[in-house]
Amino acid sequence: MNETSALESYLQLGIFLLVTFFTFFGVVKLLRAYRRNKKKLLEIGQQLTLAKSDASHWQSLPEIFRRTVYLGDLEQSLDTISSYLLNILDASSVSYLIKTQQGFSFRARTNGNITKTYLSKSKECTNKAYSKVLGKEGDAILSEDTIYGGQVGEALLMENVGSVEKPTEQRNSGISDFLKHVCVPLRFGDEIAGVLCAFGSSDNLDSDQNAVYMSKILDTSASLLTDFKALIAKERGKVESVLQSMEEGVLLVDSNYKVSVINKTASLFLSCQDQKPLNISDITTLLKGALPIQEIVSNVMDSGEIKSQKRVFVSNRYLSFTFLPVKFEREIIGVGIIMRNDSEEENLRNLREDFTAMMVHELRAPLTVIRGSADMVLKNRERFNQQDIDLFLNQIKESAWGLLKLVSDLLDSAKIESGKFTVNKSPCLLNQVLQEEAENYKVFAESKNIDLTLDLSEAVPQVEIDKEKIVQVLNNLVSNAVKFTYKGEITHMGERGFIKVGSRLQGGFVQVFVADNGPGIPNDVKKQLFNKFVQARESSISNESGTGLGLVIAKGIVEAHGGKIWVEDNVPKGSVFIFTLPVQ
Amino acid sequence: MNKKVLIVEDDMALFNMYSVELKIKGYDVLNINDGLQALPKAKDYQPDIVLLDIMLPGMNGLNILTELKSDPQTTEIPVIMLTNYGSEDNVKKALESGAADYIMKYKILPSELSDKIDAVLGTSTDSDVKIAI
Repeated sequence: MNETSALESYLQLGIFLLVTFFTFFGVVKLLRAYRRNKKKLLEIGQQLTLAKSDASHWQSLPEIFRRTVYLGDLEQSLDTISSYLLNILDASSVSYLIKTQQGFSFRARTNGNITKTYLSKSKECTNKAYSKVLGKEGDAILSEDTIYGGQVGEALLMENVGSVEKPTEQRNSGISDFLKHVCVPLRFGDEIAGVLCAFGSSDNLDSDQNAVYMSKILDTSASLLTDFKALIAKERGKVESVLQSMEEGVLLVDSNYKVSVINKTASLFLSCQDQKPLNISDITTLLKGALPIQEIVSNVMDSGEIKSQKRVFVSNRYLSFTFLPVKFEREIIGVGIIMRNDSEEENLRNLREDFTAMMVHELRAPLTVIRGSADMVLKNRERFNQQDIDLFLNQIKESAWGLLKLVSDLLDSAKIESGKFTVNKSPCLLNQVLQEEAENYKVFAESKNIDLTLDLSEAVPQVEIDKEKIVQVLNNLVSNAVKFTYKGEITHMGERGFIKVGSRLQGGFVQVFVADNGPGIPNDVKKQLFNKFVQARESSISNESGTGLGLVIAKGIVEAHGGKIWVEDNVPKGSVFIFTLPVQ
Repeated sequence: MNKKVLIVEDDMALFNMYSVELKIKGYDVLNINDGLQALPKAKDYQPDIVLLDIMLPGMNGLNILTELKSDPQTTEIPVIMLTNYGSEDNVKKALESGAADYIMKYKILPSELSDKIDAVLGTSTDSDVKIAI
């Protein structure tokens, strides 16, 4: 059992590595892309002359892009780029305005003190720049197109106004800071998503070179981000389809304790198909206290250790939970939660134990008889007459035969289970076979006060069957019928039991049926009848002898012939077992 | 007057072994293979000892044990439980419910079983006991 759980943990870990691998793989592809772009940038940079040209500035570019890609978030990238530009250009402030899902986001960065006037001026200018950018189809604007006069495009709605960075140096920012400006559009493919502006008063701020430089940085970032998102979406699509088809419930909680992934099975297990949980406390609510999940998740987030918990009862199921830390470059970025439905395993384990117990009993009984009978003969050689000896020798013989049959049944059962069960078919007159076997059955049934009759249809043609095995099926059905009818109340009350064995042609198949007027079989038992493990359990509960494998093997034999076997209720009482055989 | 043994066992082969052995030892033997008959037959037959199988078709021998022990007509009769599959639980339950002993059939030969019965009933016919004169 321990081995299986270890295997499961590795499997789950494997799944998670797969997910993070796909994510990571995308990033790696991207880093390779920017390395190519970096070369181009370096070339451009070397051609430009900047007021503060410094080798180190170029070296920071790769780091900027790496951060951009790693963050995967446009606003954060622009923040990074803004502060970088603020240092490298001779600007007083750098601001941007971009279209987001929530509206428009504005941020400004500056080295000086921010006053309300300054902030609103910055916003106004950036706003106008955006309009112009839209109107002018995305060319960079230089300060020849003056802010204070000339055509101004439509003002755009300002929502979600962002924050402004606190200055590091004390300097009073003033209107003169807006004398010069360089504004470049932020493009995502064909769409203009926003504008980035650098404002200042120095002379060479609004140079062509700066405009080109800013454009290049922005375009590269934008394209990296676009590629990144597309790649993520594609890889995620692959992983998504795997995730959704899994039988295990999968949840991913990020470092902010928000639920970033939840698959169909997880929603099913948590009974939240309509309302997806957003964060860890939603999950706590759904679990209804079955597990201190918040505690465990934060434990895993901190320690990086895998934790698991078995037999957690949630929404009428026994689930086992495994918590896996998800790492990216040695940093834990989240916790994966995998839920497995243990209920079936529990059931199966119980049934397997019952089966073993039943097997032990079935083996010991005949062996006890063999040993005991032999001992009786050995100890009483003088005393016993021929009859006594024969009695015990026959018992030994019968018991040994019973054991051999048990071995055959077990072997057949194993073959059927592993799909290696074969039948040797040859042409056969089915009705003839039934008639022959019925002679034996009649005698046996009579001894139990049961009438056995035949009802054979002439329409039944020749069939290709493994005669021995089909007879085995018949034997099993008839002996069951006798056993259950005999034990049925009718015989106790003096009525006669009856069994009918018959054949007919129906729907292109030959049907063989065995009907009795015993107590019948309840519907929920009908489904389980041909199931090996469940048979075992029924056996041990009712203290029946016999392995219960008979019907399991009958099913295997019939299906190996290409037929089906099932049971129906007999009218007015009893059962009818029916199996079909294909016609030539 | 021979001592009487009631055997409640549905496996005829086992019954043959036990009954032949016990008859050789001088006991009278009656067999029942239907658990429902156990109590009524016991009251009627008044055996000196009962051998009771735990796994009977459709019923648990432990229930029959309880019946026998609670009925005043049969409560004094010692009962030995027989089984081929004994869990610790069952053994405890049987002894707690008043069984005199609990025997695993596969471990015991018929002659050993009859020795046990002799011991319980104090009818040892061991002629090895020598009296010093």
